[in-house]
Amino acid sequence: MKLKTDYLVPVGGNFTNSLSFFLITLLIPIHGGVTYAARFNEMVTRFEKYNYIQEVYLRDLTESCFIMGILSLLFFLGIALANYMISYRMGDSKPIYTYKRISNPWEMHIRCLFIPAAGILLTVVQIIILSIIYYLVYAKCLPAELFPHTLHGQYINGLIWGFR
Amino acid sequence: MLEIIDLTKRYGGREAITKINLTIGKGEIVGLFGENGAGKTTLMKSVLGLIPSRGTVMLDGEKVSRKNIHRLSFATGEHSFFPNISAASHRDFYREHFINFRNDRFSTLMDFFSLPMHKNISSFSTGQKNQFEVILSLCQGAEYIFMDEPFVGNDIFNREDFYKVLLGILEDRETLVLSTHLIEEVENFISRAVLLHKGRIAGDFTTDELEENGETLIDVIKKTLGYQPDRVKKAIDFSKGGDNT
Repeated sequence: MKLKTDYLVPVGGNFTNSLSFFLITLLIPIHGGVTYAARFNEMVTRFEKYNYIQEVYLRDLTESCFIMGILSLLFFLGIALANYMISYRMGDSKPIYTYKRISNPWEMHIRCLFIPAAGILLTVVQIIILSIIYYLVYAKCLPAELFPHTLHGQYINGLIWGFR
Repeated sequence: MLEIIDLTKRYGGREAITKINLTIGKGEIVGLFGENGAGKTTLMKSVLGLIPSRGTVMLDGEKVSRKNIHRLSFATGEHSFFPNISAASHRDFYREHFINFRNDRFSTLMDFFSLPMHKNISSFSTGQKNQFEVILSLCQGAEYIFMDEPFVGNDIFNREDFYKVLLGILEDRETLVLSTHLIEEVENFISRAVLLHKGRIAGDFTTDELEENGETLIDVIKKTLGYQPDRVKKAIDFSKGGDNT
């Protein structure tokens, strides 16, 4: 059965455009991953090439990852808000009057919330998966010399984000 | 039969309509009149459940709800269509959501008013948008059709066409409740006039009763609503420094 995608955006909205925006927004936390990889690589390279030893905390590597995740969530909330605004009033019309006169009371909410809710859910899942990856890379791949002195050898003891 | 029982709507501390009681039978063409702010729009929106209000609206013995709301349609000067889809897409949407959508009537009216079927409504002129709004309300397949100032922005020829169309296509089972300030234009085709004044019903009479009494609608409305014909003269005299007593 073909999925009627037009049902997932406000009436008059373009599903393909919304999907593109959805996917681009989902890429924001991935950008955080790239930043993480770059910082991690920089620390390891400094150590390997110049024997430069600096304590590396996981929180320093992941700071921008969280900001990116929150940014992504805010974008999706913005999409939901915009959907409700155009469903209430668009140009010189108030489509809300039509939505309120159809038998399905959820029609407008499904149209306004489907993509943002899916986006928020996927972003949260993405943040959790990326966090696990960040932690595993930190725990398994960081040279022992770079672990914070006080945490050396015991970083796994509940100090996932390196907070002391 | 549509029964409006003790309908009250409050905006903050002010009551826009107060304990409105009204019964509208099938096939009536009701004109809803009143000065600006009398509560006409609020009454219509409250009946349709577009704004929360106190009181009860019954349709053939059942409360108006999402279950039977398809039996009421609404055309408003504020418009309720989706501006960035075409008339054809509206037809598809209405067909899907209103089980009694009248496809033939839709095509006929679109042809009659020469409205483009595949252009977005946002590209229509104001007059065309009003026409389209009214067409949707007439084609939804509703038994009770509410129209709130639907002809604002339409020229006299356009409006006359509409009155003719309305009289020509409305069936016995269809009821029209029309709110307008164009009293003289509609007095010949309404069967009943309801007057609102400061949120309350100030008058309710059939056009037959008016005829029997030899009165015109506009005169009765002016009398009921307390219009003072000499107030303009008084104001002019006063501004010229004349006697205002």
